[in-house]
Amino acid sequence: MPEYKLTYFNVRGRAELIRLLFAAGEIAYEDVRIEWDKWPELKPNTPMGQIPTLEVDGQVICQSMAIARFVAGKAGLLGKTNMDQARADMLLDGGMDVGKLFTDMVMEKDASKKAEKKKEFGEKHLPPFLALYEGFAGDNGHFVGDSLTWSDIGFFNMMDFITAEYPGALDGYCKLNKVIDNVKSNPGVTKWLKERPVTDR
Amino acid sequence: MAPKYRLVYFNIRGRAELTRLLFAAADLQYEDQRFEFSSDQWKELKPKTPMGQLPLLYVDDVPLCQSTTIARYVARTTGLAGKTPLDEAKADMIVDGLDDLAKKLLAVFNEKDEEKKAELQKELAGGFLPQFLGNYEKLASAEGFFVGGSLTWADLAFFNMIGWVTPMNPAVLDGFSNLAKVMDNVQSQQGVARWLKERPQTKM
Repeated sequence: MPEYKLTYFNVRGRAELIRLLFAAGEIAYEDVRIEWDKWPELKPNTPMGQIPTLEVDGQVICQSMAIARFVAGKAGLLGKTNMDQARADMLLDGGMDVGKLFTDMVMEKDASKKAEKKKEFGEKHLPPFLALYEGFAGDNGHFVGDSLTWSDIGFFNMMDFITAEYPGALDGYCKLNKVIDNVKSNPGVTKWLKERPVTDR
Repeated sequence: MAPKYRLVYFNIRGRAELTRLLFAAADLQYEDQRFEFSSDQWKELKPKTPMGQLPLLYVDDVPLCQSTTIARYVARTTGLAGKTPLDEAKADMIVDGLDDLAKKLLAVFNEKDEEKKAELQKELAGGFLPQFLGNYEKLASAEGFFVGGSLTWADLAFFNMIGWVTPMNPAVLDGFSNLAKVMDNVQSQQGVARWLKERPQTKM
């Protein structure tokens, strides 16, 4: 049995997709959350000076999407064919383009700049993204093929962050709401959503 | 029947070159379609594409977008993604980490103010780059491979990225012997060597 140890801060952030995938796959792992003040001494011992990292039987990998893809593979959630897997990758990449703009807005320290960015994101970037992804989703509430893949879970995770700032964002998007429902009703995910530490971000 | 591959991009290396290097390394046939930036062809095609962006890879008329996804698809198809799931993850990690460098390089290229540009270049050369290369030196083997002891797309991606640094900084890999060996391995691979000789010479 391989041993998995995930290390990150005590936030959802860049580790939450990984945690959701472990949960969906019902794969046991150690969910290490470090305090901010422990980071400086840990940093030089990581491959690229960043977390999350995943230790797998003593080998360490970094980069959150690389880790997530690895765990998705272990959970059988990558997609059935090479093309399916590429479609999942592509939709996740597209999601991250928008996710970056969202994060940039959330992390803005200047209050008036943040309000401006929040308006811009909500009016200029989010609606076209959701309209586009409504088109990508199947009537069955899956982005790839006819079953759950990590691209559904990635979308759910991102919207979890986004709807905290834009509560009605998904109103009217039938297929996207079906994707969200499918993810939430996965038994492992349901359990994790109930049990996970509640953090600001 | 092997699928038909058509790669669509602008007439630059840019975000398509890693995929072109992969096709070359695997000696896999594809159509290398290139548009000029403001061409009517692109204007017409754009609304018909998945996300309004290039590059695109058509696999028997099914379009894929997002440059890293396309490269990973070709890597997986040609056996250059890594031999085990963990090796694939290591390759992904190397490729994703290169994005951090790409961002810094783009910031320099896009800076119009000459003074600010020189400042950013100095910061990059003196601060970020040595740290970055130090990390990557440890991740590469003495034989010059990032993953699993043989050529993967991680090596090609590193080679491709350094190609954007060397014009600014020719001696950038001095003192990084593992990384220099990665460059050698990639450059001397048969398919890559031929592509490097034949490929269109473009500024970016």
